[in-house]
Amino acid sequence: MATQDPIDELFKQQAEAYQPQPSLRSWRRIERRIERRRRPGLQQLGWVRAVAALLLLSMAAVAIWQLDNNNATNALAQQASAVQEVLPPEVEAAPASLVNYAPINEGDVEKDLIARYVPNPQFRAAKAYRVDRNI
Amino acid sequence: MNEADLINACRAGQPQAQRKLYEQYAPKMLGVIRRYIFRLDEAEDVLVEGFFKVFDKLDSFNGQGSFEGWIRRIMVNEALMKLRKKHALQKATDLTVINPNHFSQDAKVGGQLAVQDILRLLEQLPVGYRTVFNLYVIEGYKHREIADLLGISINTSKSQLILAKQRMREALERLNYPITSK
Repeated sequence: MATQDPIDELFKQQAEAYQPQPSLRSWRRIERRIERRRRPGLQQLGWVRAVAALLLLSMAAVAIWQLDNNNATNALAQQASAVQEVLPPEVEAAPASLVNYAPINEGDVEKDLIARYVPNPQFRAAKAYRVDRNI
Repeated sequence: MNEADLINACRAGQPQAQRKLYEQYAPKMLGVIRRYIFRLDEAEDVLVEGFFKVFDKLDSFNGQGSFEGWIRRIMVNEALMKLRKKHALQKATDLTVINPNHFSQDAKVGGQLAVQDILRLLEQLPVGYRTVFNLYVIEGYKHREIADLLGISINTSKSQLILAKQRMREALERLNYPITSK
């Protein structure tokens, strides 16, 4: 279909005949690029090394930090092994109205407020801190 | 040294072989590229980029189909990428008035387009028309392939080709080239 078009014919005939000689500089440029690809320069290698070292270092830092963190929480957990917090862990996802904690005035200074997990109404958390306020 | 040997030598990274391959195909490929990108310096940039890719990806040439066709596709792709980078494919400049004096006289007499006239005529076309015309008429791509390559619809490709041919016919008539329908 396309080949019957006179314009198509006209162009196909002659287009292939056009073969200009590229400048010598073009080959030099290609040569240089191939050369560079073949053996990466010292600079490039140094760069790769620097990145690798940085990556390793940051990974190590993260690992150490996490280890440290674990130990800290473990120690705390051991200390409070006999008691349990009043609030179950879901408190983090509690509604916004619960977030606005007020300082606790009762009790000793510098002491954590903890409560035994016994169903004793005397030890219940203040109403504002209860997850389920209907209890 | 036949073509397969030459390709293998290039794969092995032999500089003489690479030079030979370049010398064998560079003029033809520069001709291909210049039909898309008229400016010689820009066309040579594309040639350099294209040949670097050829040597770099030579391992992926599986020997099926012609090697020249494989190189050619790389060059056409590079040329299109260059056009895209220049955002030239979005621009549509109008056909300027063609001065017949700029075209060779001999070709007219022989009823054949002279080689350099092709380039001039192509250059007069808006970039979008020219690109579709090149891809379809000279490279033999299908409209579906052109649509994929240029990120346009198949219908746009078709209509651009029709418009390109229309412009080309007008230009040729102005230059008194005989257009005879078979």
